[in-house]
Amino acid sequence: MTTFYWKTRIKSAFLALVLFLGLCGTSQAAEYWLRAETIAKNMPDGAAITMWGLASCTDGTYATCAPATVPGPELNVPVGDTSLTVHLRNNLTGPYTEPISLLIPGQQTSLSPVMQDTDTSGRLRVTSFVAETPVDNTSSTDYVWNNVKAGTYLYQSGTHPALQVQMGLYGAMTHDAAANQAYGASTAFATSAIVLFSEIDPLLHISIAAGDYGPGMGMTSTMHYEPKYFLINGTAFSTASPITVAAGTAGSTTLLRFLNAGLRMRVPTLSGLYLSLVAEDGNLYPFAKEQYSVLLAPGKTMDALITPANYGAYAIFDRMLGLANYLQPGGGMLAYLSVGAGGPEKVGVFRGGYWYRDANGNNIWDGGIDTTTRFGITGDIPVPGDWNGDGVDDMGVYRNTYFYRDTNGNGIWDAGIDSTTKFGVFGDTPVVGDWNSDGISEIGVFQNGTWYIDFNGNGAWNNGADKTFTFGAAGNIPVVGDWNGDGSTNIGVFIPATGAWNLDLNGNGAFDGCVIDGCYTFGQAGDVPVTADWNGDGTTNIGVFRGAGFWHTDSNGNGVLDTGVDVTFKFGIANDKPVVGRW
Amino acid sequence: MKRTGMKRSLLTALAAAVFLLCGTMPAIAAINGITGTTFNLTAKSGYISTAEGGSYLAWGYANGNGLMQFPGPTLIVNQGAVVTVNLTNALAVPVSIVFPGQTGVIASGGSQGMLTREAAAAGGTVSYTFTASRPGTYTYYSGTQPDVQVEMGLAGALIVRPGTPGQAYDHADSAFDHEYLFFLSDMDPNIHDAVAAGNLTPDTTSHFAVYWLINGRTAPDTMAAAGAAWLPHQPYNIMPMMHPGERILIRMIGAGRDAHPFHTHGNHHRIIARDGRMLSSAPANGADLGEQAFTTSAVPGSTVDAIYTWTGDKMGWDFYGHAGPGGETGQACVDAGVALAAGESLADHCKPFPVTLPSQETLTFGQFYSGSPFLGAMGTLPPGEGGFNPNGGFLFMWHSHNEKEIVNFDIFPGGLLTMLLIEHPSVPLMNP
Repeated sequence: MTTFYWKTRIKSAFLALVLFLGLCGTSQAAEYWLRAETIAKNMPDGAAITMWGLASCTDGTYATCAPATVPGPELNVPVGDTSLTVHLRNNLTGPYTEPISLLIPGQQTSLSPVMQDTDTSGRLRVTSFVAETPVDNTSSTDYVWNNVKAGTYLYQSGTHPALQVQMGLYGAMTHDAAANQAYGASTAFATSAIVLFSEIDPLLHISIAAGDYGPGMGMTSTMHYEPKYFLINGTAFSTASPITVAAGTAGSTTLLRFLNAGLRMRVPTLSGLYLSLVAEDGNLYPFAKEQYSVLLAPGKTMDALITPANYGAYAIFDRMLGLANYLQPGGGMLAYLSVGAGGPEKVGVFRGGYWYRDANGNNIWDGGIDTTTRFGITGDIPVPGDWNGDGVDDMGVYRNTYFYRDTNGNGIWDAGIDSTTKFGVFGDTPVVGDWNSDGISEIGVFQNGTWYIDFNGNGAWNNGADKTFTFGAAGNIPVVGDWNGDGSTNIGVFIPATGAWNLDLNGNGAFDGCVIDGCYTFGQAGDVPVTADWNGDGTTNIGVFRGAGFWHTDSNGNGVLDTGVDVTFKFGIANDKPVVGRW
Repeated sequence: MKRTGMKRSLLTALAAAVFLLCGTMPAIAAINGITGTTFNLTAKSGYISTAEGGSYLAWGYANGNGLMQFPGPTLIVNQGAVVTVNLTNALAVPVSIVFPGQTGVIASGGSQGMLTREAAAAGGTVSYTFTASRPGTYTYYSGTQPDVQVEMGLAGALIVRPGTPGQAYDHADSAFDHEYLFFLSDMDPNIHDAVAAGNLTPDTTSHFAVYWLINGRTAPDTMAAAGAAWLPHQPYNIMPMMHPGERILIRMIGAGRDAHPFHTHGNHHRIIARDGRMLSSAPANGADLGEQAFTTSAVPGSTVDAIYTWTGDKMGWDFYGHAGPGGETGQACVDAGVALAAGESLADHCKPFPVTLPSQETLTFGQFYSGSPFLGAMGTLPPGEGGFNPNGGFLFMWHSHNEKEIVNFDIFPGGLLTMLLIEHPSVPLMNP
């Protein structure tokens, strides 16, 4: 008894201390302001689907909100925070709307079911698991989760879920146990990515949009569910606009968070890699399971780690064959995990047909260690690229509208084996990038502000299959890079007279102003623009090559030349042509 | 009455054919397939038969210039082999092959598609090369419009054998006496009919299966001989056979669009691997995370390996008919000088058959009934009864536990169903 008494006393003292520390400590709450809105989502076959999305707003005025999306924004509770508060506002519009709410299966909170709709025997019926947010675009309801549990969770509407989840009120909620650890040291990762599956049965959406849903209407229930569109992260696949999911770099570990917001089973299947399944419904497994596919039930979440040895695009698709866009086979739930090359890109210069490349990556020419290779002739424009998808950039030159490319990557020109391709017209500037994120570089040209991109990678111009953009103007110098880290190469221009840069950050092939796309001033008149992943973070940053071989790189990636912070070095001599790549 | 008669003569003919074929065919490998390191497959079309009389257009991979077959040839390779699969396309649509679970697959030729490089319609070619680095049970199927092409039949099995013969993996937990492939699939005839009518892009979102198949056949064709002449496009059978105490390796593949809960009668099975990886807590620990089940689904595109054994345990009688001199059972019967026979469980050793069999005029008979409750024994049967079980074996149904899947387009019995035959140790097995 004495022991017990003391134990209790110690425990109370300890609890008091914990509470005290908790009150005055750094424990914080993650806070989100979400607004439900009626939006139209376009499918690859041209159908426009009326959906209910969620917009993330900056504060309780709901004055500044991002566009509403399906799935809704990720609700991340940062490491160190213990609670999550979502202030929800309901701005659903159209002939049929409903009060909404938010629920996170797997996260504990006190529920307050809404009972209404008395039946003929006078009994009440539950219509919402939690308090509702009315359709007034004025009030807001707070949904609070204290003691948030680490893991991956699906949030969704807790009101009339049979209808509202289909309509689009869902998204991912995440909380890591520690920085870059999902559940603890055994689930450490360098990068994490959300892979959220969901479905659309257009009949319901058409009925909602037409106000034709409910008792006595054209559609009376969601019983006869037959999805026709199959989405990953809110998009149905088509070859014209493939879905890419940034998934870290080769040799490092990426956490894939699988969620199923649809109403049918899905089987995410990974090409060329195994998944190490580590958790289910936010619960860590005692032993990881090694599988290339995983059964993902509706409402479920699964966490998996991958550590790909090679960079490239790894397809992930639904083996339950949700792989059509309604009447068009070959679409739906397919995405490419884009695994970037590990480490920063290296520099080099092209001079009179010789390539001087910094093989050891120290930004200094080391004779005998770095490589000198003959490929091309004086006057050629060097165009390095990964022509064979092996993760190593190979040489190539552009001469009189022809690309000559070392496609077998052996460092010498092999007539009849390496590729000779005519692309563009005289005066075009060649560009090289992985436009379709397949892990292989493709070619393109810039012609006075118009870009012609060999999107299908066959080395020839194909109207329709290939892409053309208008970005920049005559006199600009085209620049390319993966500005947003999504695995596909984006475009941009450098204006040599002023040192100004305009980059297509959102990757839509058009300049959308400096708020959405990027505008920077970096360099001066006469500089040669150079773009590379200077710091190995998987995104391309800008830089310039100046005068007698000086490189000024935006190595911290903020778009400004920070003297003393950004890396500057000398490699090459005046009039060299700078090149970058992974050699 | 007439129909029953017809059915019976058909079944008799079928049984006769089974025995005839088995008698004349050379001993076949445990799992039918093709071995080597280079495989030449051709995607082409043909018609597959269902046991109730249906015939449907299908697409499949043929071995070289052979007939289209469903499933495609089972590719059997050794661990470490550099495997090359050359695909020629005789279909009117592009096709390809993906090998889930294989890493470093290099595709060459053809043109880039959604999941891999594709062979162009009408004569195009493409090649895939990979190193079969890890042993196990795998599947392959078309990576081109899979929602249509997997349904149409472009799928098969890949088996990678480890260095140790008689094992599925590099651990004794996977040792087996007999191995059988269970390639479980489903079929919606509307899609096949649409393609047959010329619609190469049918609506697959309204898929509704009415046929369920093992190794490309519906029951009772599942139990007909491998290579049966009347099933030219469905060469693989499935009728597992064993002696008491032996271990069967079930190599199960979810090959269709839905998951099929596969149920083994007679005993539970132990799942030892999924997706070509042993269920291990650490590489040396074998299948220590394996689990017992009597119903297991291989979800679409995935594989499951399981070990099944049968010793008569818990049947409640000595299936060999042993008797103790003084009525002893179990260990006491062994001590009294009656040795255990092959694969017999000790608990039921020398236990007498617990009931008196009813008189024959009160019974109806199945064609598999031997007339005796003892293994390898034949009892008295009325004229015309029995006949499918000439060696007095025990039979257990193995089937989909989704009971609607053991029909052929609503005609029972059929579908995803076969029988396990346990023979007396003295009887050689027809399906080794």
